[in-house]
Amino acid sequence: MELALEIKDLTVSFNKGRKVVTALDKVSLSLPQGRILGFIGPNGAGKTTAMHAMLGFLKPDSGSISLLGTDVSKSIARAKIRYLQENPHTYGFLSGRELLLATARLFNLSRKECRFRAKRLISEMDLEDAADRRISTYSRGMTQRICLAQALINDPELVILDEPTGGLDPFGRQQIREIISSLKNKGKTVFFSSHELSEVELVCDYIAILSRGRIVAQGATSQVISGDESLERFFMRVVKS
Amino acid sequence: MALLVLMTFSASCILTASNTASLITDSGDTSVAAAIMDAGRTTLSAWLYEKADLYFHVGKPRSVDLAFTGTVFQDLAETLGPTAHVHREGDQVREIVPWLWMASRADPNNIQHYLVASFWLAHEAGQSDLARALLAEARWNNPFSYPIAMEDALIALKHGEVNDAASLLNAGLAFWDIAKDNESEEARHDRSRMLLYRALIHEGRGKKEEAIADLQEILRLYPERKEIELRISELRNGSQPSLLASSAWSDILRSDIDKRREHEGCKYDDRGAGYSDGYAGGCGTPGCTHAHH
Amino acid sequence: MNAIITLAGIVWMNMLRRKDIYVLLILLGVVLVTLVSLDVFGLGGTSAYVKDVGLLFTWFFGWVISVIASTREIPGEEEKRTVFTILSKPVTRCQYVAGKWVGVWLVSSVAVTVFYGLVVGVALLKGADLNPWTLMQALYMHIVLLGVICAIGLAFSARMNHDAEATVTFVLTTVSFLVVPRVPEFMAREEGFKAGLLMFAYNLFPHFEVFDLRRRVVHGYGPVGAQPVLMISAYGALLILFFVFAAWLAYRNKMFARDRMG
Repeated sequence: MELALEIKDLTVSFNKGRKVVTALDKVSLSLPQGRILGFIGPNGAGKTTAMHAMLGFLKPDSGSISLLGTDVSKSIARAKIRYLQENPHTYGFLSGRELLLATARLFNLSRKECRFRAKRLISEMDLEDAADRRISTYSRGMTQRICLAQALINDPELVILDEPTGGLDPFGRQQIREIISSLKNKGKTVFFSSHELSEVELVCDYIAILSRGRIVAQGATSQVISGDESLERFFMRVVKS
Repeated sequence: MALLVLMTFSASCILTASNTASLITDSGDTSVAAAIMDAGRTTLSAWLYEKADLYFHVGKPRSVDLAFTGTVFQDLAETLGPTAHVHREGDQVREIVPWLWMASRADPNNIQHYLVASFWLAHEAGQSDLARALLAEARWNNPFSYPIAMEDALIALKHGEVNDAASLLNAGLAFWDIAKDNESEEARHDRSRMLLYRALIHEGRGKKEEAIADLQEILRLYPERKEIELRISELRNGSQPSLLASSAWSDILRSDIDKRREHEGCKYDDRGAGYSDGYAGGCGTPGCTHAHH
Repeated sequence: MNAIITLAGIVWMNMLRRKDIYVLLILLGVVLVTLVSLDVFGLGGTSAYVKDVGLLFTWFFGWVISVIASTREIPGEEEKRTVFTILSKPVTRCQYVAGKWVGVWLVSSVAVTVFYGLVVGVALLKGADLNPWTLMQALYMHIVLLGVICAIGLAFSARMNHDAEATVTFVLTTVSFLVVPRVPEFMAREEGFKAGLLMFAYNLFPHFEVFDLRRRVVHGYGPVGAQPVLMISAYGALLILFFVFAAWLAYRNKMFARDRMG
């Protein structure tokens, strides 16, 4: 099975004053195509840093990252992936439709195709009524959905989601879960980080647990969690140990 | 910068209207704020006055000493701007008035701005009443300034308002006595001019002795002026007060105004705080070839 | 090219939906109406000062818009973290910088064109004579200069934080506007080290005075010849290329440490 994501010995450190803080310490991770990986860990474990390094926003001290077989620093790699950041930040001065159209144009889609995809995603995200309103007037859940729609506009092969359900009500979380599941059904690969362990347990084929910059457990969900132990108990045990 | 200019200008006007003297305490000390405002006002006024000069020369700025010339940027900038030294004439002259008006409001203690503005109003724009109103305002702000009284007197005389002119000349001569800088050549020249006009008015009114007294005063200032000596002896020898006195002052006035008109554009620059009537001083505008005597 | 146009479009939409330009437009309108209603001494027939003050404000506002827009784009995106949304797409850093420059230049140019329109309209109402060719040349040169200012703003904003780079850009452009053209004059009164320093500044700083055709417009002169216009355009293009290139150089390898943002 081809790998959608392969990280080898990734180390990232920052200077904090005179101290050097290692955010990621020799992290290695792989994810086959068409699977969903739940990337979990306590606050400050280095999840977002890992995702930023995967997207080329940070220069690793050492190690390599390959997305869909291509070095992420090349823009061609980013044409096939999409990223939804934690607490989605977007252009509040644009309407939902304008945001989707602008995003689609960045992928060199034809105008007709841009309009078609924007319309379809607006419908899928249940945002028809708000599509022409400025995003700054959206609720948090609506913002999350329009950002997710934006992340899906180029029909990506790999979707990286950072806390996609953070701050959403149960209905919103359910909606996002359904979208993630539908992505899997379409054969897409999903890499998402979350604090909601029950969600991860529900939708993920694979899990990776990050603690203090190190991977402390990873593998197929069914293999990592043995017997009757819940993911939450397992998580608490490995992180504390 | 423009906003700064606007704010300084507005603040200056407000402070001016509320009386500039209030900025200075009774002991004569000035606060830092007052000093800053004063400096800002003076700078703004100078900039506005410079604008008037630029307008008078149809966009050609004053020449200044340069350390070097002929760089690509200087050549290009010169190509973009007007190069010929020309003056606005006729109706076009009124374009300079708004700048002089703003300059006088920005620094109402600078009499030079009032004098130049009133000159153009009275003698080019044909608005003597406005010129005199401006001079009245100038007097209000500078109560003991003899050049203002003198300028007002000349305009009054030009329009045949002889009584008014006589009163203003009396006031001007009285102010001259208490002026700080009345030792200069320019000041002496101004005094002789006021005395001459007043002597002619006395002559016109048949007041021979008063006319002789004024002429003798001129002689004390300029003993070499033989024509004054001659006129005194004519008056003493029984020549009647001349009916031609008004014609004489009209001729002198016309000559004075023509000379000033010819040199006014260049003359602003070297007046400084004092006042000369143009043909007594040198031309301060480099590039201007007008003679001044 | 598509990415550059799209990014420029986002900048355009942002500026269009902010209040800055409208506020400046209203301010200019108020200034012009005040000027028109100012009938100094009841003389009438004076109009050059309306053009002069109107164009002065147009230049001032154009400068403010171009500096503010260009200096807040990149740091603003980083602060709001929208930069991640953009750079996670197939957009190169070069396209990103170029798109930002095109956007802020477009916005500044359109705003300044509207300001010129307002000034011209009011001046015509006041009975001013305006040579349309000179006016178009003046606007063209002004727009080229705005491109330079936008490029300078972007170059500094690629690495520095917003406050620092906005200050540096304001200072640099102010010096280029007000001090550099007068260096030969200042040098006539200085010698030694000070004169050397002034000469260094004269050669180092951009010369904005060559883009200024206001005196020709205000005092009713005709357009300048094609050769100086071409030379100035080439000079402007060179400055724009230099500063946009510098912006790209500074930005191309910029990494975004999470804890250093917003």
